Amino acid sequence: MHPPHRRRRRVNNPINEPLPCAAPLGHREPLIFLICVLGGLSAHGQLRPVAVRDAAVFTGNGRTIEKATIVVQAGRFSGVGTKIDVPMLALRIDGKGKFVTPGLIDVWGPVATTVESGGDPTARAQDGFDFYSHDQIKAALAGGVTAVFLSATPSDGMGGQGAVVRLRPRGSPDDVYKDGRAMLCAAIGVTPGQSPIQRVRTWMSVRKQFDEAREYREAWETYEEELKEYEEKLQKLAKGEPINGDEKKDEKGESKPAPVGAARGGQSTADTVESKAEEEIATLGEGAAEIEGEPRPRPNRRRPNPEDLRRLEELRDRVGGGERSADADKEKKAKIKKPVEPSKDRKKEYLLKLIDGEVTLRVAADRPEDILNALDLAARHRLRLVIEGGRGAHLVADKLAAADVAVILEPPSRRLQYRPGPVEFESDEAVSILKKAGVAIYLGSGDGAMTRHLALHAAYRAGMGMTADEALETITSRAAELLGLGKELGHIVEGAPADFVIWSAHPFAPGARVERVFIGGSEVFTAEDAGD
Amino acid sequence: MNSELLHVWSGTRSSRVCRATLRAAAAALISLSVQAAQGGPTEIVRIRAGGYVASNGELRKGAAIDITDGAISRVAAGDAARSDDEAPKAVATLDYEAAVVSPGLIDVHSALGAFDQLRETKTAIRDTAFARDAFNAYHEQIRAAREAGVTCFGLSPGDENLVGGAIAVCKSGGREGTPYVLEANGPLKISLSPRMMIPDREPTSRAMALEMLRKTVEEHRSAKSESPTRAFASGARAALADAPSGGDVLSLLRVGAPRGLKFAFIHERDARSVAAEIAAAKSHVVVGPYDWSETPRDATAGAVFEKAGVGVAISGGLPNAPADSLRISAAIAARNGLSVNAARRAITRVPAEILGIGDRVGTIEQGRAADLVIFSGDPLDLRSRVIAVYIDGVRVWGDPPDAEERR
Repeated sequence: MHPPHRRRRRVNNPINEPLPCAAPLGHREPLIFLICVLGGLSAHGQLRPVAVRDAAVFTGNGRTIEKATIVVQAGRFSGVGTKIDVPMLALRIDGKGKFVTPGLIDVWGPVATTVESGGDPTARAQDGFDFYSHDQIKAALAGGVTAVFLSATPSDGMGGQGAVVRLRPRGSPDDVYKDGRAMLCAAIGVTPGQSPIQRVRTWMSVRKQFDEAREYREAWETYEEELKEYEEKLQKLAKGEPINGDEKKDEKGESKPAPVGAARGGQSTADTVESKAEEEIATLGEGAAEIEGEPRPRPNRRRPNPEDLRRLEELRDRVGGGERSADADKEKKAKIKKPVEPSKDRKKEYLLKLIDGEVTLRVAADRPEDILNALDLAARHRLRLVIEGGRGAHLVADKLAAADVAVILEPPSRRLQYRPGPVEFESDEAVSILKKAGVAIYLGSGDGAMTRHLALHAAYRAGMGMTADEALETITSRAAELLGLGKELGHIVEGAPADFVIWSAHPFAPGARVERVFIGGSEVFTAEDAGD
Repeated sequence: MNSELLHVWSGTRSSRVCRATLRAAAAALISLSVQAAQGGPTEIVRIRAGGYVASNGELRKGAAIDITDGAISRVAAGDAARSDDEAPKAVATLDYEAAVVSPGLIDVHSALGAFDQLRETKTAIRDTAFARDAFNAYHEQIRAAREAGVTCFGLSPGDENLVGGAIAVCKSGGREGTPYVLEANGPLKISLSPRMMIPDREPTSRAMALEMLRKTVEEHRSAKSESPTRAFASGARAALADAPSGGDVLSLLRVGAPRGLKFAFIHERDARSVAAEIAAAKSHVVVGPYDWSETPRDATAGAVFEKAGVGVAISGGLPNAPADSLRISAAIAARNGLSVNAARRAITRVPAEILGIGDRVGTIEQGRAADLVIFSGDPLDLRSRVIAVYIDGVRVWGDPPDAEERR
């Protein structure tokens, strides 16, 4: 790559002659300095500092600063307040009469994504996200939404892992937040026209998967314990020591439940001592191969240690007719059984993350009954739970509050023309009842096409029992906190990434338009290109 | 509320009734009681509020609206609204303080209380049909719409008929307490929608449809008897034409121009390309209804037509939509480029004009029926809630403010 200043100069002066104004060298220095600064900044994706002056700024903490200035440098807010110096080279935007908010966050906004996980908890929503889905991303940006939670909500039952994505057109891997922030999505009874028995089946399958994940963990714990004992014994055998507690071990071994995932056709009892020893040789040999740079796709294998290698040699000697009497060894080894390793299951391992509280479970449920079932599941496995959709949540508000479970409400869709289904549970009172009971309320779209009207949805809910500031927080700072990104998104504070929106008026005011949208300090949307 | 009603009740009737019975009766007869509270035929009841929607759709500060005999008799705005010095004496003043008074909302193309009763699949031409025959004044949906601020609606034949008959212009409530038909002989409904082309009957093409339409118009132009189609054919009344494409619009304008026919166009999905022609023909356009998932293209239709100089109405799609669909649709249209004033007109004044009753409802002006909705704020602001609804000067929904009796 050329040094930035060389490229710059060529653009300014295509015929490669000295700049007319550049005769005294001293005048040139600021220019070179400027170019270097700009070049340095471009590495962060933002070319020039940006300053919005004299705007009303909603910082995300329920606080609106009138006539504030915000300055953005290197992709982050470097100053927010009424007495902020604007850097000399900054792009100055007159914010007079404008309203600035953090980029809105749709906590349930499957924009530009296709996910049907087919009940696999290891399916990831971000794999179905298309950064090049220009129209959909632009539509969301035109609504002031800069980040969405891509849910992997299935049509029924267990779904996949969600992800949070910043909607930077053409994006970068940095714009996808996952890992601990991902949530596992599930759905119960949200498919129209489902019979009640289907909901029962769905529940059974979801519950069973969690129960099986627990059993799976127990099976592995048992196995590891047994393996340890087994190894100790082999070691003793190798040293020619008597094996203490043989009887005890056998008893123990028999009293233990067979590992669930480990049924391998009854080979364990029928195996001869030789084959057992050989098997272990094979196992240890594999490990040795792994050390030599041939990783095998056997998850959760212990790395072989030098101890193993030493024992491997000993065993090889013995099986191959070592110094000692083979008959004597046979007798002793007959009492030692190698425990069978349960098969690895990544789905169950992911579910264990939920049981350990590392990952939150989101359940799309649209009936009070299904919400209660979800609460029951969460209590049983101590899951962190969030309810999506939540029609009828106000009917079980007290229980939601007691379990400290949040609800993400989607835009109402009840029609005057009667239709059977969960819309019956929709109520204009839902927000005020949930709020009064102390349930945390969030607002999402549930449909990528609705994301662009997130601000209007919030305004509509604000009319039903929230203050405007509360509603605005719900789709900015609080939304970020729900997604575990309170430090990265949803706030206009010094040091935070500069994702913000300049509105022509308060976002809830009729006729308010999104004028400019910035992500990481770079302008990603301007109203002039908003039309068709 | 109850105590006020009790007061009114016991004031007008001297009979002594058990209190509990009285309460129940009073609740059931809300509209009658309120009418009594608002005085006799020539007396003035004044509604005062923080602002109102003017006839150009603008939100103006301060409002004092006098109601006499179910109609608006005087409108004072701004400072003049605050004092009674130059105002005629009112029997009661209802002060809604900071609230905003809007003309009653109007859904121009609805099927309230008659869903699925307005489409005919055997005959394409129903030139003498009246939608009023399908009207059910006691349907629950009408009450729900009324409580959301819809005071008037066009009960419109479906899109399955080339000529569907007369739209019935209905009110969602009134002095008698029940919804009623304001104008049975409303605009004619015409459809060139693909849904009209049903395989087993004529027409099955646009060419045939227009030929049949021309014939029908010619027949009725010379007809002696009065019918919905005659009013249209003679140019006295407009037709609401379902014209999904630009081609449909141009075809209808070609049929209409030499005969002096008037149209408003609805379901204009792809008709924006002919916005200039629609403007030149001085026709109105109905867009919407919009819901939260509306595509950017459809939601910007209102803005495109406004720019071309076409009067825009927004349909609420009731009852196949939420009760406050008109306001949601208008708010979405405003988000997508329609000016706020045009958006307010689009759910009040313009639909009234399309339904041919622009001189009776749709604006807050002297002489119009007192169909008023008290919102907690700008009707276009989705944070606003309906506080009260008046139809023909009678409060049909909501609590009164602390009424100041000035007898």
